[in-house]
Amino acid sequence: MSMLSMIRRSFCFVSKATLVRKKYTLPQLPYSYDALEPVISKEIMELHHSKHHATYINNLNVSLESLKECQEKGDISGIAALQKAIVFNGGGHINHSIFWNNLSPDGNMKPKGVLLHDLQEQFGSLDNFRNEMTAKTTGIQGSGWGWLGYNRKRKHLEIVTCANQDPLQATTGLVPLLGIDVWEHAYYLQYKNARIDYLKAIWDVINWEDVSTRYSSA
Amino acid sequence: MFIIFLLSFVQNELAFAPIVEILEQVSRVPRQWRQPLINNGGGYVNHIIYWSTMCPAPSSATPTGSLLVDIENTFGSFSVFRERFTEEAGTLFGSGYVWLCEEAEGEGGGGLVITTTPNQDSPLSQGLHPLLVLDVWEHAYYLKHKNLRPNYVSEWWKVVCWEEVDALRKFWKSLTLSRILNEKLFEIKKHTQT
Repeated sequence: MSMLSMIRRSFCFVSKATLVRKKYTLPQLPYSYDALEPVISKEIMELHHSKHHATYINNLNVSLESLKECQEKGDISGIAALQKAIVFNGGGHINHSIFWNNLSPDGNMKPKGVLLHDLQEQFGSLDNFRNEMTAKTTGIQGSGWGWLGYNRKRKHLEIVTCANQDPLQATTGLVPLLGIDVWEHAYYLQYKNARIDYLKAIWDVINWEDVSTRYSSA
Repeated sequence: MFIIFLLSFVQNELAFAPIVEILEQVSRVPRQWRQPLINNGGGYVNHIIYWSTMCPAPSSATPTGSLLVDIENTFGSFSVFRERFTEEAGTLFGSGYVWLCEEAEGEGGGGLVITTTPNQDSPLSQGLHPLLVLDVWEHAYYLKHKNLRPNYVSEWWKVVCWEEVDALRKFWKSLTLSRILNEKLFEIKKHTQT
């Protein structure tokens, strides 16, 4: 075999190795499926985690596999066509991974320290912040998420909403701190069409330590 | 639930037009009311069509007559149409609807198309006449089917009322015809007044 073809083959080996990646797997919940009752039912948590989140991960893995094939073939059109599925399923995986940790069975948690100070400073009061986030999230048309995010450029907290599974940081540049899922699968079995009741109740199971940790590293 | 707001402060005859007409010309609605109108007006019309095109015991599992012929001519066969429609329903991201529509052009009507709309958007706003619709918002199926949307879709085919789909198609045709007639009458009037 010529020197040139050996070199060419070694490059192919290296480039294939760099394109091999791990498959994403469903993260474990930090608590049991019934831990958030009565705010979020066991039935919802089980379906939400083991079916919906799992499906996003499966479909993400499939999309990334297809992406790898398109990259190997140099199929730019194929790469472009995959973006929607990657945003949707990748966003779904990111969002839900944050969500499970944003929630906690400890209903006595409250915002503290720097987070509390900044929420009060920027929104007037904790109640104002909660009301604004509840109102904006209730108002999402169709499926989506309400977010408390950190704007690194302007150095302040913002409440924004995203449609479908659009990931906050990739879509808006904000660092996600607290997300509330208002896809109907997140609440319908328990709250039916009364999204506002779900949003009022969910404040009792927010893991403020997790939100603070995200804020301090944002 | 879906309330139509009377846009009485708008200097626009659209404010008093039927909701179908408002949705057809939704880009003319002033920006501050456009999205709420799409959400609520669209939701109102979409659900009317959804309820109307279902019945507990359809007399036929497939369309008949000219609708069947046109579906076969457009999609190859009824089962290909059904497969494509089902695929759209299975792959729609988020909330929305899957539609069989007819293009709203001319006196003979345009072609048949399968299309989807997100949230409560109406195909009327895209120059289409809706004939059949499937609601794939999670609230339409979650209590019974949970996350298994494909099960809901395959059950839904059993309650599609093809007679009503046909009646709706005839409705759009006669609406188009009456609009054309009105336009022609208007032209004649204008001509005789000058």
